[in-house]
Amino acid sequence: MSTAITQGDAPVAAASPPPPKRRAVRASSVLVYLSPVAMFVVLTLTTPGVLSTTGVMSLLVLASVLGLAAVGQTWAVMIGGIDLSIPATIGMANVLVTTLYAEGWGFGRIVLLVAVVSLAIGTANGLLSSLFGLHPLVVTLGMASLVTGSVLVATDGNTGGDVPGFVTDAVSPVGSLWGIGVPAAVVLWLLTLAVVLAVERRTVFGRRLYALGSNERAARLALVRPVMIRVVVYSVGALCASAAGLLLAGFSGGASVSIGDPYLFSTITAVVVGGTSLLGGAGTYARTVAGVLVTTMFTTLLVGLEIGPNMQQVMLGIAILLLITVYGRDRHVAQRL
Amino acid sequence: MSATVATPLLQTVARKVPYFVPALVAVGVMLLLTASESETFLDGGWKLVLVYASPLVLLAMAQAPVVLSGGGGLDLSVGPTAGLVSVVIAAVLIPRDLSVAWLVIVAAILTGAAAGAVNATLVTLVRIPPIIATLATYLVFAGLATQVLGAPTGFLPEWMSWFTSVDGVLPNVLYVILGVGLVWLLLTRTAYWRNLLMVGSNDRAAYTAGVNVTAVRFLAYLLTGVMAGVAGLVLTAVLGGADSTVGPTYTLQAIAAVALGGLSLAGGRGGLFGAAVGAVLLFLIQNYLTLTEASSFELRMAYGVVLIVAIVANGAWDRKRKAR
Amino acid sequence: MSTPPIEPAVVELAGITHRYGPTVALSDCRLSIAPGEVHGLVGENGSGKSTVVKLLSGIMRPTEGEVRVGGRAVELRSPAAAQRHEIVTVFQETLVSDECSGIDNVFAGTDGIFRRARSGRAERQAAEQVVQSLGAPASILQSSPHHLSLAERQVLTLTRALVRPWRLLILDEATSALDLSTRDRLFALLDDHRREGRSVLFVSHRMDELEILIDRATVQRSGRTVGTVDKDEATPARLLSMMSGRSDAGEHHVRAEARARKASDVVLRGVELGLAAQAPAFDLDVRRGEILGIGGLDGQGGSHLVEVLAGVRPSTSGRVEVDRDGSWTRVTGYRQAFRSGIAYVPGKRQEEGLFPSLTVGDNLSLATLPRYSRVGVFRASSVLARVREEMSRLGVVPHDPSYPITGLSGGNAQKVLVGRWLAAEPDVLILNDPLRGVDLGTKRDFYALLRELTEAGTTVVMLSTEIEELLTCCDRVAVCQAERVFDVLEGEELTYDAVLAAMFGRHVDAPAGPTGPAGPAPHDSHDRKVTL
Repeated sequence: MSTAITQGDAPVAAASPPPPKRRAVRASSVLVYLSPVAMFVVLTLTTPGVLSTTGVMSLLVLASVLGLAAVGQTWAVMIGGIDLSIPATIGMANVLVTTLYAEGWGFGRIVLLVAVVSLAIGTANGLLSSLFGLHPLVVTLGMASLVTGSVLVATDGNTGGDVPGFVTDAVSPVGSLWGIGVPAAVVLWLLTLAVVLAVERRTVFGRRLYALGSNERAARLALVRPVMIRVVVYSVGALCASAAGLLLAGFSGGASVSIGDPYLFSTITAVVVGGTSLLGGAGTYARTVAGVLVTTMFTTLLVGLEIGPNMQQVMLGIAILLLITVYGRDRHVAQRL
Repeated sequence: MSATVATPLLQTVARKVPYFVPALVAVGVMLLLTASESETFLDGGWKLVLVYASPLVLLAMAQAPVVLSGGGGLDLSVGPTAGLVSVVIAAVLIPRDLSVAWLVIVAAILTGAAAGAVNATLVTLVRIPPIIATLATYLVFAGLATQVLGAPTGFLPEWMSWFTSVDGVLPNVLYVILGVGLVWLLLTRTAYWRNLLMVGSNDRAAYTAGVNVTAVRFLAYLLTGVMAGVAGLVLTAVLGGADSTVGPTYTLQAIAAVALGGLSLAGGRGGLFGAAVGAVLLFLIQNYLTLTEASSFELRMAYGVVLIVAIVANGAWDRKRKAR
Repeated sequence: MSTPPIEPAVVELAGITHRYGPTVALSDCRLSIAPGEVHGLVGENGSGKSTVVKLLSGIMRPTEGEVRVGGRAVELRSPAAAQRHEIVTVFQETLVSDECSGIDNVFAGTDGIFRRARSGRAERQAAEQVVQSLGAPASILQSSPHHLSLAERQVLTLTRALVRPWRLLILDEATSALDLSTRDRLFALLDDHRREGRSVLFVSHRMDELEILIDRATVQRSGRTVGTVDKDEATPARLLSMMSGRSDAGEHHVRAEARARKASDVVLRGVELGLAAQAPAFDLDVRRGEILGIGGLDGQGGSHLVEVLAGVRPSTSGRVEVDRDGSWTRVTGYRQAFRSGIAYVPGKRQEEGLFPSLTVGDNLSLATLPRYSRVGVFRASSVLARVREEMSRLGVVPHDPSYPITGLSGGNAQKVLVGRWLAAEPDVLILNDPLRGVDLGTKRDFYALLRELTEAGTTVVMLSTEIEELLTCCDRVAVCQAERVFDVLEGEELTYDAVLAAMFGRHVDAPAGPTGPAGPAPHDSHDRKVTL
């Protein structure tokens, strides 16, 4: 092996290090990944009809829209930020796709335009939140207004529209891609999941993303470019949110600039339920996926129990509090000394 | 450390001038613009503008204590809390003929205080990060409010029109805002102000110095709740009824107003006055755009631009102030 | 004032054991502080010193055992509770708020939630008196601490402690941020307090300070109390051997053989460098394969100099150039410097170095990942192999790349940080005070490592605030004073006295007066020699 310079007779060199906090972290991550399974069992027991191909697929289609929307939220939280512009981006994609398709644009051209606009939104978010240490909360909030307003002005508030048939098929629980019996929306989500996780775990960018969230000053000195990372993070988030907006067009067939509004809180909820710390530097999209599945099934469960949307909301709030109390509490100030 | 170089003028100014001055100047500009656009504005029209702005102003003020208390302090639930208050008034008190003024006012404040206490407990005792805790209570309060009061109602006791009256020299609602401000002013004369700023800017320093960090933060959330309660009362009067869906829409605006008013979202810098100025600024911008017959679409777009520009300017200003 | 022979201790720790989970941080700790004494508390990192301080300051409570104040068992539930028992603490970290004025920083925590304990005028008078007795201007109380120096900020935290009623003052490495004159004034002040029967628990790494100040000293090792010794027994050699458990503890002071490097073979140079607006410019050459020490008192430009050399901070005038295959390339920033073969290990480990939420392996490999990647995707096995190699070369304990970095001791964390840059195989390694607050064993490992590196042709520039350290491992030492390099010492000239003298702007053979160009004289206590 290589030459160790530690002298054999130096007993003081390594005073026994304090215990790692890994045990606790491991325990809670097991909890996180088991919770969708547990929730599914509860759901099948209480709600008839879930345990069928169509039932599972409709759950997965719902989950894939939320899952795509939550990519950006997860990464934003991992670098210590937050993204409130996701609903606006979803709305933007939704409106552009439906109105432009109705006007006779080719689908490819529309997707290209939506992608360019998404990149612009993400770049602006990234650049602005790097300036003067501006809080991303306010930056993305302002960006949300700007995007929604611009879309409304550009389309004159026109909400009519049309979508290509394959977008409707993509979100249909009985839809099928390449004859494998899985709706295209779910396939898209799974592909995104694979790419996102690979980027988190296997790329230089992924490591730098964690480093930035963990300690910005140290990251700079370790040759990380915070502006670049932020621009990419918010851009990827906007692209995925656009994909979610496109899929949503398949549900309604019509356009609505506010169709993304519920996704403001539900993406944050999915991230939080997945246990990604809002302090940044930790977490993964895999956890968010667990969060997405749990919240989707939870909502389905409440609907099955004939609980109205208002009480669903109340229950969701309480569920968040209970989950965070179990594994997401802050440290007391004395423990930070 | 470094040798003192002649300090640039702008930096000197930035250091001397209080944090809220940029927002105040912007308010002045907006007032001039509004007056030039609307003939009736100076001739009493401003009173009505203030009445319509008052729920936002009060909610921005409500947001201030928790933002000041640091540690990521934020109350996303101020809007739903105000909504909950209006539901308590319209769906609980009035149907039972409990619409005496004092009772309604006390009930509004207590409802706000209860909501604040829930948030305070979750954040300071259970130690759930503020943004998550108040997101959850946002969902709970908003859900409860809509559950209790499904459809909007417009039946209010006579006396509540006092809040919206503009017959006096000053609009009555201004007295409410000033009253809240006065209570706060008295509070800043006590040790609480120092405790709050210290906890907000460096909780570890505050804790080791002997400040009861938990109590100071708890109180901040409680105060926020109380002020949100007052805002809920005024909101009910301004709406002329209760609508459970209106309150929640104020939350993000209140946060934007606080940021516009020069408060640091990281805590420890700013005050109630800045939050109020920020809210007035936000409302005047919206109002002006409506006056110039911009469509609601353009209004939304301009609102975003203004917010971003203002935040960037505030950030640059703060950078100047802190430069060594 | 006569002292009765047996007095109850002011504060006593009786059989204290403290555990964090399964790890025992403190085991059967016994410490008794008599009235009117300055009690030293020494030990290496991980010896339990900071746990003792936290227990006494009310930041944590012991798992077992009693804290007694004036003979009565008490529970110190919070810093406020400790203060009610008249125990006040000044921490190494200068805990001040930048948004509050100096005076608010001093008196925060003396009030109730609403009730103010003193009038504004009473506060001002009390604080001004303490601040002035520490030799600082009263103006630091009025402004917000943004613009204050580290030493002035620490004066605020000292004042915070001293304006409160106290019987026991705990100074936890609190002097390391102070300049020498302030420190001397503090010591004089403590002498007065000692005569009035107040006690001090003095935690310090600095043997010279301990020798000046203490009446007794308690030594901790690996969470256990080794013993308490009286002043005359508490010689540096004795304390060091008690701390390390070895008899040869003084050994590391032995200077390694300095090696002469060719003066003409320069790898990095500063040309007409100016570090601050009014400071005089100077030239500095770094020779290939040497260990160049950068010395000087805090705030005298040493830290600025290493940052300028590494391209992290721009110089106010002049330029830094690095030799790239025979031609001089100007250093314009730290990224460009890195590409030119310069690696910079930042100073403040927690703020500028470590990523607390990442593993040891990720912390170590972060800067060099691109070398193991194609189109941004790294080969995990190659990275891991390299990480393991660096970890064993540096002797990081535990030898586990997936261990959380927060689980490592300060010394091991520092090794990881150095490893991050060693993995880049730089030509020039610049270290900003890498061994501050690191235990002796790690220090010795480092000295050997640096030697090994230079033998292999790497050039090392290392900032240190400790003179012995500079003497122990450097070939040459550049001493900074008043934001410039005052003198570069090597060979025979490189002695303790010469370095110390240069820190104060003097040459050792010319004791008559300052010989350097006029600059703000840092201290007025130049006639006081600190010896070891």
